[in-house]
Amino acid sequence: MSRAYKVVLAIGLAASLAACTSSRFYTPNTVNLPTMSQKGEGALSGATFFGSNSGWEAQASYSPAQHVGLMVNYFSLNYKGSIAGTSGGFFPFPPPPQTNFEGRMRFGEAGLGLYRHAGKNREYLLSLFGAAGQGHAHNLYIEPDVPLKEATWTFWRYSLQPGVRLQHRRLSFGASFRFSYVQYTTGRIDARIPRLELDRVEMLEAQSPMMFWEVLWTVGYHFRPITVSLNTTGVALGKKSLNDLNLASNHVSLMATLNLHELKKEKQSRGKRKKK
Amino acid sequence: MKKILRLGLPFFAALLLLAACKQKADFEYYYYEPEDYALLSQYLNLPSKPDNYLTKLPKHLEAQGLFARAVDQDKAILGRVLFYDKNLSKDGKVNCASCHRQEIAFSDDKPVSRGVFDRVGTRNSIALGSVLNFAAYYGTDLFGPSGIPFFWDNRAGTASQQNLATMANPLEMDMGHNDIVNAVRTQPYYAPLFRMAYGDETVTVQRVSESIANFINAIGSFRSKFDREAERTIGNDTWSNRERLDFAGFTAAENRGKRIYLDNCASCHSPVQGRPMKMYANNGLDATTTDQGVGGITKNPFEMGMFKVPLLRNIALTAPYMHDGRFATLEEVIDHYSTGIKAHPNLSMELRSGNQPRRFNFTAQQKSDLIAFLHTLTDEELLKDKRFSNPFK
Repeated sequence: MSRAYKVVLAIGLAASLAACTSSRFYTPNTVNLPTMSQKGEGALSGATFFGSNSGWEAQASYSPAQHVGLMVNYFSLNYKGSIAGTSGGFFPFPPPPQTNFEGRMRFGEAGLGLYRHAGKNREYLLSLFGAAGQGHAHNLYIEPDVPLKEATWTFWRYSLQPGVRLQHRRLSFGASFRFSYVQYTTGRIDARIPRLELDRVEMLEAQSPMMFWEVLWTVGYHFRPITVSLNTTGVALGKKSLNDLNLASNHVSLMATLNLHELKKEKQSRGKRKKK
Repeated sequence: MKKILRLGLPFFAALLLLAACKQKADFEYYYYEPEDYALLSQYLNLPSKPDNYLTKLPKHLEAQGLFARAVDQDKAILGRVLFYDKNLSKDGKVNCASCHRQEIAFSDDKPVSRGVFDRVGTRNSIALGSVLNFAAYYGTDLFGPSGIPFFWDNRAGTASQQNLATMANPLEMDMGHNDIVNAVRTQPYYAPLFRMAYGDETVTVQRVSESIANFINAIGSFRSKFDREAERTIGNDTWSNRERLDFAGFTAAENRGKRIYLDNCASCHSPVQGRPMKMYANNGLDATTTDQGVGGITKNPFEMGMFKVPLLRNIALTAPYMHDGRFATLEEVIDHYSTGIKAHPNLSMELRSGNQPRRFNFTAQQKSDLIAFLHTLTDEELLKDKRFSNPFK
């Protein structure tokens, strides 16, 4: 790997990890940017992450027909942190008490899309996928000496994601803008959660359905048949009310992708070598 | 490619159709246990989801360093019930709201308030709605020596002290500490409210007064026409006297009245109705005084005859005026400052002209303009804000 690539990768890794944030209202899963190039190809991907935002995600993609792709994604995120329960904290008033929270979000989706190659050497893979999925969030608010308070909600997400991937030798770069339509449907909220948090939940309910763009970029390195990629998917927002909800979360994942067609080829070539 | 389109387009069309189904979220909120809410509902009109008692002051007030204190929502809910509960008075006929009526900015329309058994008080009830926010204005507990104490004579340092003193006053509610605790204990609706506020049902006088303090600390008047225009004109500006600019939404009379107010009244009552420039003063109501106000508490001869300088929010609603309610109308108040100030030994410097009481000599037009301006300080929303209304059925 040339020095320039290493520098780019190092900067990308540092920047994306520094930008890693989650939201207890909505955190985007990693955009599944397809790698297939023809009918019959497919891939399985997995990622795990640790720390205050821990969890895992799994993705699969398959091309049942030339230029047509299917995908299935699952995202499991655990998070924790603390929030100010009330406003205030300005001199001479004492700072507002902090409330700790812990939560988990689960999200699953399936999608269908189109892809085709472009470029002189077919080095670009253009794709357009649509997907629908459901998510569920469960949050616990923890304050000393009082019972835990819970808030749960369910949402549907409908998305459309145009994407482009560039393969250059062993390196691949990809980008996608995912247009997401997130519709919160049901929720059950203990109204004794901190007042500011209750305000945010009410805002979430009032703002639903929400539409926004999510931005993905990915850098991968290919060890045939596996590709290791660093991905970051962030919510890009415009409306102030959405910013107040702190939805501008950025999910970073280090993902391993097993290219099934390459694995199959590898097995076939091993078989041939054995026969020889 | 045609095949792709045949497969893909229907899918995208279906996706868009799904997305076009704009279904609103339907969240279920729960606060009380169902059996508690059933019990409360027998006596009280409380919403199943708690009211929001947090206060965010407009930016023209925050720019002056005024911020509302965080209020405990659960305690404020309990405080609201206590505020309106007549069981907290000796004869069962008086509550806090008897002398602090919401429809007139939590003031009383009598010159001096009447307490239990129709006993006549000694002073006019101070309007809780005369301040931008109770906690942002009062309280030596947070502001230390520069905090503005409570009552006309500034004898209570905190809202809790003020509550207890009022309840204990024989001319007001006439309830000793034990009386208060017993009165609260015997009412079935308090058990769930205390559990929500304190985690258990134990009733103490400190809890009672703290809860009422949380409720009144949430009361605030900052949504008047004056505030809307001040926020638009002054915004985040602190120092540039932008309050002197004409407000676009004011009438000519209101703007003229504002200028008169700023030139003649604001040096005591505050230009933006934030915190008064003086904690207490003598305003020349009488040359000699029998009610000594602050001096009656401190025994300081230089504070005799001095009383709290109130803010003027909702002033058009809170007649009669002055600590003894002697003036029935704003016209009478302005006439007093115009030509009626008496030469009290402790008369405020702002009301002196040399050694003589100052004569503002307002013209009829000026008086009318000033009154027009004072009407812009009325916060209609406060008067009908359900969060502060009587919850009893």
